[in-house]
Amino acid sequence: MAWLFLIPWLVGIGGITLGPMIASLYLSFTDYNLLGRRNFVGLENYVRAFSDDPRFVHAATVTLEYVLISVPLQLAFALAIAVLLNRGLRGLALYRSVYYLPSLLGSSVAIALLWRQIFGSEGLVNQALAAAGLTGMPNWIATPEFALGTLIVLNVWTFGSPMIIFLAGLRQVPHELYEAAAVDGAGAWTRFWRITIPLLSPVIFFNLVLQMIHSFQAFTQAYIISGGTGQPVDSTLFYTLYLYQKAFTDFDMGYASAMAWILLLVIALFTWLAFGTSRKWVFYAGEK
Amino acid sequence: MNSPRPSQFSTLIGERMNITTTGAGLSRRGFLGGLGALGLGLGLAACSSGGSASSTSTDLTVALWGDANRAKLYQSAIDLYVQKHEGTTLSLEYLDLTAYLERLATSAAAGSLPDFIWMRDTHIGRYAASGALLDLTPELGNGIDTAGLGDAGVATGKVGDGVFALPSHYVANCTLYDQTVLQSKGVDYSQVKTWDDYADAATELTDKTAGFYGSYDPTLAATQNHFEAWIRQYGDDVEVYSADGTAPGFEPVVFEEWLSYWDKLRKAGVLPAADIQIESQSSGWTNDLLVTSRAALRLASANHLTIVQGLRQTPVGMGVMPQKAGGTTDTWRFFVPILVSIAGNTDGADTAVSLMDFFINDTAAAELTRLNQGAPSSSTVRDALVPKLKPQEAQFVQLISDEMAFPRRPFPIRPAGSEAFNTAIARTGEEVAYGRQSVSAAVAWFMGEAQRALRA
Repeated sequence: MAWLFLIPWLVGIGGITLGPMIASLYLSFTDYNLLGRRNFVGLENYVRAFSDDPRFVHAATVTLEYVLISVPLQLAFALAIAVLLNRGLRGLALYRSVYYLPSLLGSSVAIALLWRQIFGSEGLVNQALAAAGLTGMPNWIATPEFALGTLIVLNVWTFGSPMIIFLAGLRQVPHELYEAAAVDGAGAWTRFWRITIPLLSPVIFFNLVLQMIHSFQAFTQAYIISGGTGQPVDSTLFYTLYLYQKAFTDFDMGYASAMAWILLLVIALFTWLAFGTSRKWVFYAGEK
Repeated sequence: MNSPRPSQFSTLIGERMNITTTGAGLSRRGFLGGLGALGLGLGLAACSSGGSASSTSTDLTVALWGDANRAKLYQSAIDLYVQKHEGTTLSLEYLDLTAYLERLATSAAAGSLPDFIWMRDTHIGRYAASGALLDLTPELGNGIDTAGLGDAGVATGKVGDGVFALPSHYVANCTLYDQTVLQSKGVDYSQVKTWDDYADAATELTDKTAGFYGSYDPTLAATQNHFEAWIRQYGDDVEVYSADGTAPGFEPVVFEEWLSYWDKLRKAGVLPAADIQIESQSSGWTNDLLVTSRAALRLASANHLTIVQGLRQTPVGMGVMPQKAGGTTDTWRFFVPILVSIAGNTDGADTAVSLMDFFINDTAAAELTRLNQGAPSSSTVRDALVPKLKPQEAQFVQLISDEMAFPRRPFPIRPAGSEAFNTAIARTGEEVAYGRQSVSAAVAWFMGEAQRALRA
C-alpha cells in the first residue's frame, strides 16, 4: 500500500529529474544537434568549453561576478530589514508581506519588463535623478558598463525570501543575552556583532547556500531584459542564457548538456567550499 | 463549418494560439506536439522520428510564426481551404518567431513536427539535412504547380538532392522613410541609388538640435539581411558563406567597409548612439525610431511597411535598398524567401501537398493573406493580386516581380553553424558601435569567430 502512495513521487523523481539528468549526461558526450545526429565524441564538448570558446569563459565570468556581488548584497540587505522589522513594529505582518512580495515577483517576466522601463533613458530612475539635478544619465540597461548592475539591483530587490528566514532566526535569539550585554555596557553595534551575528550564523549559512545556488541559475531576468541575446556586448550573458542559446538557437544540444553538467559541478564546488569554511564561522547551539 | 475556437495561453517568451477549424478543440497532433516538446525540454530523452503508417489523414496541424493579426488572416485562408475540401480538419498554431523556432526544434527532436510548417530560410538546411522534412521532388509539377515559381523559386528549397521547401512569399530588403520629413527637407528618395546617396540623404535629414537622426543603425539589428545584401553587392561570386559552408565567403574588407560606413555616420551624429538604438529595438516596433519619429530612414524588410504605417499617423514611404557604386550590375537585392515545408513523418502527406499548392497558387487565398508575409512567390498570383492592392503595396510587389524576372543567384542554403555566425556578426557590430574595438580589430575578431562557428 505504501508503494501506491509513493508512485507519484517515484514517477516525478524518475521521470522529470533523474531520467533527464542521466539523458543529459549521456548527451554531453555526443554532438547531438536536436534534429537527429548523435555521435559519441567523448570529452570533446568539455575540452572545447575551456579551450576553444571565449564566450563560454565570458558567460562564466559574468555569472560569477553576478553571484559574488549580488548574493552578499542581497543577504546584507535582507538582514538589515529583518533586524529593523524585529524591533516590535506595529503592523509587522503588513511590512513582512510587502517586503516579501518582490521575492514572489522578482523572477517573473512582468518584473523584468518593468525593470527595463524603470532603468530606460526616460525611466523612473533617470527621472528621479533629473529631479535631483543629475541630467544626461545613460540608459542603464543598454549601456555595457551598467547593464549587469541593473540585474544585480533586481536580485537584491528580491530580498524578501532570505529576510523572512532571517526574521525567524532573530526570533530565536534569547532576549536575556541582549539584556545581559547591555548591563555590561555593550552598545547596539557590539550587541549586533557579538550576539546577533554569531547566533544567526546557521541561518546566514543556510541563506548563503540557497541564494548562491539560485543566483548561479539566474536566467529569466537576463533573457527578458536583453531579448535573449545577452546585450549589450554580452554584458548580461549569464551562463544559463548562453547554455540556452547553444541548445535552442545554435542546435548544439550536446555542448549545452556539457555546459549544464559543468554548472552543476561548479555549484557543487561552491557549496562544498561554503560547507568547508562553515566550521570556522557558523556556530550551532550547544557548540563550544 | 464551425467557427474557430481560440484558446490562448502565454508562454515564457511569446504568445501562442491554437485554432482548430471544424471545431475539434486542441488537436491530437497539437497535444502530442506539446507533450513532445515538454518531454524534450525536460529530459531530451529517447527521441526518434516515427514512420508514417499512411499518407491519407485529413487531420493536420499547420504552424506559422507571427502575431494574432497574421494568424487571423491565415485562419481565413485555412477556412477557405476547408470549404473547398470537405472532411479536412486543420489546426493552426502560431507563436512569436523566437518561440516558434525553439518549439519547432524541440518538436523535431521529439519526432512530432506539425504536418505543415512555415520554415525560415535560415533553418531549412538543418531541418532538411536531418531528414525531418518531406522531399517534395515527386510532387513538383504534379501535386504542386510550380509554373509560377520558376526554377529560381524551386531552388530556394533545394538541399542536397531533394527539394524540402518551396517559397510561399518573398521579402525584399528596402528602405522605409518618413515622407513628411523628406518632403519638408526637399529630399527625393527616388534619387537615392547608391550607399553614398543614402549617406548624403541621411546627413541632410539629421537635425542634431532636435535629437532627430537621419537613419537608424542596421549594424545593431537583430537580423543581418542588410549586411548579407551588402556582401553580395561586391560581385556575383561573393557570398556570405564559402561554397562548402566552412568559412565566410567574403574578404574581411567587405565587413570592414560595412562597419566603417555606418561608424562614420554614427560619429557624425547621423545615427543614434548605440544605447539609444538598442533601447529603441528592445520593445518591438512600438518604440522603433522611425515609428516614434526620431529617425527619417530605416532599412527594413518590405513587408514591414504595413506594420510601420499602422503605427504612424503620417505617411511612410518605401524605396529600394541602396546599391554599391561599381558593384554588381544586376538589381538583385537579396530577397528572402518565406518557405513552406511538410513534416517527413506526417500521416497526411496528400492533404499537406494539396495545402501547399493552395497557399502557393490560390489567388483567393492570397487575397485573404495579402502581403502580410511578403509578396506571393507565384508570378501568376502576384499579377492577379496587384490590381487589388494599394499603390504602395503594388510598388513592393512590382519590386519583387522585377527582380524575379532576372534572378542571378539562388537563395543560399545556410550551413550548420550559421546561427553562431550570425551572433558573431551582431556582436561585432556592437563592439564597434559601443566603441569597444576599432573596426579593423573587431573584424579580425569576427573572422576568427566565424571560422570557429562554421567548423564547430
